Amino acid sequence: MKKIIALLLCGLLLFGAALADEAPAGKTIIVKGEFAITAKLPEGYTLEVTKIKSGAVAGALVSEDETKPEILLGISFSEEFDDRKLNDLSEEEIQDLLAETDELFSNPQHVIQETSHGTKLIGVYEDSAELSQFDIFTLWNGYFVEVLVIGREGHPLTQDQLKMVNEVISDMWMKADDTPLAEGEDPIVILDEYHGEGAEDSWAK
Amino acid sequence: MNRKGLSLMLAAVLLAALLIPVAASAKTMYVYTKNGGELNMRESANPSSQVLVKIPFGAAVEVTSSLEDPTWTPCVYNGFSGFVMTKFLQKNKPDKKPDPQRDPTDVDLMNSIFKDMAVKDGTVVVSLAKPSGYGAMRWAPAKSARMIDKLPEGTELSVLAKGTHWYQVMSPDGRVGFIYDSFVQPQ
Repeated sequence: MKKIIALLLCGLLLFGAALADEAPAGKTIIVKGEFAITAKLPEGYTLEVTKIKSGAVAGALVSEDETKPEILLGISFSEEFDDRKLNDLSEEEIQDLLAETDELFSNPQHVIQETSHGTKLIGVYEDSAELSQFDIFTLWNGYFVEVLVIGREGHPLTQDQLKMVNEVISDMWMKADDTPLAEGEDPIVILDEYHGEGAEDSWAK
Repeated sequence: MNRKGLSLMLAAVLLAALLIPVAASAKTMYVYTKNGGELNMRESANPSSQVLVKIPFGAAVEVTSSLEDPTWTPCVYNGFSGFVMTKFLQKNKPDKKPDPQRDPTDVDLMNSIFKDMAVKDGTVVVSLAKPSGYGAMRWAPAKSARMIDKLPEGTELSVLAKGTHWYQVMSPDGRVGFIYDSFVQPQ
């Protein structure tokens, strides 16, 4: 299983963007004064809820098709890694991060790869006969961005589903946002648009 | 005045001169936790160091350093001298204790994804089952979900929801997340 996952991710992270047949619906989440993240949603998925709470933003990509996996998006700021990226971390720091992630696993496995934009990503999963949960995360300017894929009711994830998730991540962009936030104003704005154009402060750089 | 007396007086003057800046730099700050809970004063500026005393919400502490540290502040409270986390101090005495209301959106979000989560009330206390030295609070009830806080043993957590293996909890500083049930003991 480990070898299959590693090979799959290696190929998909590098070429995932090119595999998309048509442009799917896009969404942009802006947290005013902090960041904007923009992504293309997989076909049949909607961004049902996003909520900022205690410094973290959580989003759920859901589908009415019960054969499709749940996809959770989590973004949280870390003072410890303020203004740093995964690519900036030392091997020791990465190992420390993996140790934190592995705590509850019986047999954790990791895949470290880079997107075609050069953003380093870490995949985490349990090495078992059937893969029912997969997690990919990166660190961007102090923000941990994480995509968590969970098979419905513990059902194993298929290679097509992993491919779909990697396409989402490959096309995802993130930028700093300096929009002023008025007192009492909701900091979150969700746009039905994809703003994947490059910018100097995007994680594509 | 003999030489010994003069020396003592000079020493006293010097000591006073050394103490004046410290006294001048001491300032009063007040404990403010988002859920109205107590604040731990620790022996050193480290989340795993020994808790000397639990400081009630709204209590005044005397800050003993003029240097502002964004993470830890040395201070004195009720005869104890130690360190508290800077983010739980504020200049003004808080008017009233906040009511740690649960956020229905957070509960709904996770209920829609994790069918086994059900709204609950109560309190759990971090009780370490692993040698890591803390209980890991994660942003989602999943093993690989990233950690958003490291909770020292004894931290009281308000329960918002409970699933098969996970509690959704609120920490003393108002952070909401999930903790694996082997890390906590129900109260």
